[in-house]
Amino acid sequence: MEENKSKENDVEDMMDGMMKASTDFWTSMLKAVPDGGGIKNRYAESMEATLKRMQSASSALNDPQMADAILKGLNTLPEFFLKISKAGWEASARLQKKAAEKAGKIGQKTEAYQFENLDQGIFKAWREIYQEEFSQYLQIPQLGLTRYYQERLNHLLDQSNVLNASLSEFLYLLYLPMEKSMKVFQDKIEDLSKEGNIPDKAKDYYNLWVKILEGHYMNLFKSPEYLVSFREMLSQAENFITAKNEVLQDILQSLPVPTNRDMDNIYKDLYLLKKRVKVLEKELAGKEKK
Amino acid sequence: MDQPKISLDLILANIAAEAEKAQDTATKASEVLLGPLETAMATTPYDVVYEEDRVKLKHYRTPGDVTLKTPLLVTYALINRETMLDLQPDRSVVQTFLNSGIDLYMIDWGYPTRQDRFVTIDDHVNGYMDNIVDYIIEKTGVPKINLMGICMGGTFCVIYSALHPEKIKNLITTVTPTNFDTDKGLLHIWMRAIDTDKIIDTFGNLPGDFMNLGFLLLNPARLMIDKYVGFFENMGSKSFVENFVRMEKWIFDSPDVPGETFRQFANDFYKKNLLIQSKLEIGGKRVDLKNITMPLLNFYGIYDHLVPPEACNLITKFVGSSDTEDITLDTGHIGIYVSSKCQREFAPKIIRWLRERDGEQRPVAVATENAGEQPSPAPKLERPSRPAAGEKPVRSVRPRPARPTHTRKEQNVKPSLTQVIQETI
Repeated sequence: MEENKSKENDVEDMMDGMMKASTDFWTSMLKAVPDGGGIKNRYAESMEATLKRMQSASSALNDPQMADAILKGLNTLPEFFLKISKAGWEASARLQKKAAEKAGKIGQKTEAYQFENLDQGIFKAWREIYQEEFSQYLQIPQLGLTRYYQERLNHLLDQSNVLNASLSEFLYLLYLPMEKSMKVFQDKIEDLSKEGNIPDKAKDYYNLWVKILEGHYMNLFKSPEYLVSFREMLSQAENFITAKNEVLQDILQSLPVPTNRDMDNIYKDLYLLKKRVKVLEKELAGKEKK
Repeated sequence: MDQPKISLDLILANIAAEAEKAQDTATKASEVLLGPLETAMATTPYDVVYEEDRVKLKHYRTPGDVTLKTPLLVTYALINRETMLDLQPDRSVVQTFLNSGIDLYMIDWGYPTRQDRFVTIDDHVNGYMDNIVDYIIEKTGVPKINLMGICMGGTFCVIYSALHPEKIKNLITTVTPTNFDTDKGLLHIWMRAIDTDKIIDTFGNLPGDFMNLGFLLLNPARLMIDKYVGFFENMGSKSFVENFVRMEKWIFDSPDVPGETFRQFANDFYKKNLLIQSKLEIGGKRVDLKNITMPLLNFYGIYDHLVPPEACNLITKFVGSSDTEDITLDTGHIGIYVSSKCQREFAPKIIRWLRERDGEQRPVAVATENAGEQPSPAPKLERPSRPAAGEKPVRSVRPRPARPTHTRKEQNVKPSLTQVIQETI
């Protein structure tokens, strides 16, 4: 208790000293400003008003109750930052834990020519963590004049992150046949060597590998997992492009160039107009022939 | 423990030989790649005789005389370009047609821009195509023309022939999807799985590069790895490099597909399969396949992974015509037009088939032995002169040659996939 009081006194002394030094400095500066023929210039008036505000603020701060309130507010700041960083750390730790759990399983579950029930948990885990822990920060309602612009920018960032997750999963699926093919290829070579039929030309090895790879890709492309991932990636890419276009639209609006939306409206009108003219032209030509 | 029976000496000797060969290929490759290369495509001369928006009509200059009374209009797909039919002089469907005396027209759909995003299938079929057909009929003075379609262009031709049968004398469809209720091709599976409406709402048009990436992903092992391994192996051969580069130029020359056209193609064709059921509506009119009463010749490739045989082979059973023929070639989607083997079978068969239905009884020299050799031109036929304004064109009645109806020809020698790709390249 005693310690707290002593800290408060220290702060008060420090604030007093600072305000006094500042006021003295600016008052002397103000006095040094030339009078300008008896008429106080606007600059000097403004400085004087500011100094008066500083003095009144300083006296308000000297009030022990006010100083206490400010100090309490300042004391909550570390707690605020701690909470934000805690959320990030916890998410990171959970992701690492899940990644460690899944890492061992991925290799076990990728059997040759089998793409059903793939373990894509690591991507799912990342998506879930992102949506639970990070995405919400980008969805905080925005305020003020630029709220819509800020919202669209946040939406773009959000979509970019979601797309990265979907794209990573899709690329992982595309990579899987390579990994599986290499394993099957090694097994085949082993079998062939046991039989004494091992190819002696590099091209034969390549042909064998590429045939296995093709088979794996064909199986992958027919698997429901691939279709789901493909559809998801495509959908997220489209969401990202739409979000990007919205932001670009905002930027372009401030430049002297037409936006896609403007042009689409014109194209639609032009299309309908041309269609109508062509119909009329044909009708007219028919009448002329008659 | 079993000891593997590996002849290490032999392996080392082969590695040494291959290293020497690779060095030799690298030397030759640098000479080829740094030297002049002839990679121009579509060099057969033509005139642009009609233009509407981005669409052009090419009229090819016949080297000899026109020997078929009825002109032929070729309609290519909106995906990739019609230059594939004239890829190189010795593998040119266009030149084979011209050397046989066909008066050849071809639609160039151009490069759709964002401005074309609202253009529909109705605009393509009842707009551009119909105007072009009217133009040819008026210019040549014939009452009907022959129509040939490729892939999606073939689907347009089927729709057109059902909606305007009075203007079409003979219909040829090649690798043309008409039945979309099949899981044989990955494209069919994927097209049903994706949200096409969202794609179009996002992109406006369907980007050509986006489509190309999709096509590459149909078989990445072959199309993204093996193909280029083949290229590196053969870089020392100038003719191989030239042909390869031509093919690459064609493959990646992909215009965007107008958004509303793609939306309708995906929804009404791939997802609802309306065409083959005669339930499709274009421009407010139902496309009834029974209206297709003109002779129909239908080609498809047995190893086509984009438009599998199951997507092509029903049309002849659903049309109203009694004169139909299915021809199955042992090749893929593109091999039909560019492989040297198909050059000897595909275009000559069309010429023969058209000539039989053109009132001509003279046989056309076809099925030449050497790749690139063209059928000898048939005897000259006088083209009916263009009628004067108000004058009706005179049309002679011709006896129709006896021919089998509803036939199906298949070749059962199955090549390996590598052969198919090499053949295609």
